[in-house]
Amino acid sequence: MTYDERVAEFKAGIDAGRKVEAGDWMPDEYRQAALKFIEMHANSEVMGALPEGTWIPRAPTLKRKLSLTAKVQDEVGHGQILYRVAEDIGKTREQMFDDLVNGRTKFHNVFHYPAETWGDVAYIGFLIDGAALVNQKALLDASYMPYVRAMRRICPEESLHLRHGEQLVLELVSGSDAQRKLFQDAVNRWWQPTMHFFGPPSKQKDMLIYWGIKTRTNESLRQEFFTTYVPKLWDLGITVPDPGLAWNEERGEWDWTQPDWDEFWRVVKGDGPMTHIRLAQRKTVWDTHAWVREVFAGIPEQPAA
Amino acid sequence: MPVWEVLGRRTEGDPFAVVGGVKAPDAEMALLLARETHFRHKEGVSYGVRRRGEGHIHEGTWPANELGGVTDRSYRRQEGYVGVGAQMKRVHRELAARGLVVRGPTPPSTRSSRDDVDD
Amino acid sequence: MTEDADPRLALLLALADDELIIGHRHAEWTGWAPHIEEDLAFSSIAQDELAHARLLYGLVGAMTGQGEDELAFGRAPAEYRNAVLCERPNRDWGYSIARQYLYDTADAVRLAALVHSAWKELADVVALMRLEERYHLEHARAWFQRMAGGASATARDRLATGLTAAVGEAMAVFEPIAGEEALVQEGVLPRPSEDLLSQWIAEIGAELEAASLDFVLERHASLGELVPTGSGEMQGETALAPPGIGHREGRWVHDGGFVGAGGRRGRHSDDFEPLWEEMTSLYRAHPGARW
Repeated sequence: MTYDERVAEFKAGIDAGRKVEAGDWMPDEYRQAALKFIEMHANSEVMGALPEGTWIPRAPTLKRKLSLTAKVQDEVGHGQILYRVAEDIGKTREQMFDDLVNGRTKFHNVFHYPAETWGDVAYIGFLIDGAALVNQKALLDASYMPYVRAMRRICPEESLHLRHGEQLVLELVSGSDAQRKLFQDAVNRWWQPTMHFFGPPSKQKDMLIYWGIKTRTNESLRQEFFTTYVPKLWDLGITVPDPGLAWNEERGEWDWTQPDWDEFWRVVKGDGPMTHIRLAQRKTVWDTHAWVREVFAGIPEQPAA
Repeated sequence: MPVWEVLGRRTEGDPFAVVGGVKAPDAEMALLLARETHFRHKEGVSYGVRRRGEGHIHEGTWPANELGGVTDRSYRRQEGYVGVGAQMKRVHRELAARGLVVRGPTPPSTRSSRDDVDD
Repeated sequence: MTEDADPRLALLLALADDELIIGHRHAEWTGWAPHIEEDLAFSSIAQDELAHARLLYGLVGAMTGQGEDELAFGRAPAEYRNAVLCERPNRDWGYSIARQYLYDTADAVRLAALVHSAWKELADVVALMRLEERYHLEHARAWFQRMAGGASATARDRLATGLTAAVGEAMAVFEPIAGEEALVQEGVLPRPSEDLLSQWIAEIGAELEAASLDFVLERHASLGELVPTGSGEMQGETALAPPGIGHREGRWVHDGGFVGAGGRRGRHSDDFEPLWEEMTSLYRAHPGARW
């Protein structure tokens, strides 16, 4: 069989629902697409730890100090699981981390923004986690089985985080006027990045869908998010800052206003409000702790060049 | 840096199954890290690690009841969030009574749960 | 606070505030640790310490009627009774590991005594804490051995630097509690702080010596005059100076006593107020709020 014939056979298998294991033969395109997607997901988990992590020292009760620490710990844990999956495809974790801190690889747009208030912590815990869960449930049908198994471990933890986030929101909206305002302000600031999170309207040929790594379009996931969360926000007296957002009974979907996609591209390419500072801080820790990696590798340290 | 497969037994009598992997310099550190990365939510009753490419399983010594800690961990388990759904309904009712709920058409699937609080 | 009138309160607050403040510092590594699996492992230690603080504040609350959040976040800086060691910033991983090792070995010595306390409620809480502290010791020693062990000269150097910086303040974990004699007489504190300090110095001295790191103890010069510890009296305005450390008859020992007032008297370093400000500002901005 020629390489092209093998690729065609592989693709036919994907279309018929065949799953791929780590040791299976796979086209170079498939390998690269899977690696890039999973690496970005792993990067996003570890970068996602940072906005909420800044509120661990400031949490207003002991119980929330603990629950927020545990939640951020879980995000790091998800990164650990996903880097392992990506590593087995063929790139070391050290190389992936080095690429991340030096700005050579990407992570989700939402983690380029600051968590300004406790309202933001509640928003992230309920709606960003909610958006992530919509995506992650869809990934349970992905063609690459090691990734599917990782999702099977991640999704239950993410569901727990979602309930935690919901609790944070409920306390704010049923609290003082100042607390309600904290949450409404956060919604007003985070709504556009959340719309961006699902990605632009899907391209005609989306390679990730072609290879079965993603199984649903960006738009379908965003619609599911609206259906799940907009009625809940409205029930809590919280408005969404999109005057064009409305359920269209005729078309059976939500109308909404396209956000500024230029901002989305600027952010994911590395120019978000917090991108530089977060990566710089990570890079400092990475560069100054090479000795930890040496201890863990058991390799005698080379003198600095 | 060596990769160690992490193995666990979910309940007594199960065989060891691979549940993930960690990177560590040696078996002792691998066991410590495996415990905290893969068993802190009490995902199993016993644990072990096996260096990639080797056959020997190094078994962990911590007993099942101490995996994941012994002080109150409800904040990171399901039992800590029982009642969130009921709380949502209660808060919705209170806010509806104050006239704060936002009105607007929603998909059919969401309607029944919202209708019961219409004033 | 009137804990000076009740030494039991002073003891509880010292223990609880140590756990709260060091838990707070450890938790700052969550998301940042230099090895991703270790990030998770260390975050569990942070959560343990915060959980222990909650249990201890519960005992305080049973005496004073205050809630755990009021105690953790609602007091003025001078009312906190933690050792200064706990409030120091994390610096780098070398310092943080050195501090974790010194704190948890010291904690182990005092908890081993307190588990026999005549005050049953405290003894029960301590017994529970010790099960989790066992992990902290395992963790500290695992890192200690690997950093001291020679795989990386830089690692060994970072550990030594961290230990040198922290060991004096670690001794102050054993700064006597106000009114300690009464607690010792009642059996609430089964052994005086000075006794516990002695034991701890001997133990870590031996471990450091075995790793050829005892020079960090020798660098800790004696600053205090030879005054007895445990006098329980306010030492006025002088900042705490711990005893020196010496080596006699094959054993590491402390020389002299504590001079001045430290964390146990509510006297903190310059690092405490910024920590307190960050830790308590949201709580204080919304009095009575639920979160």
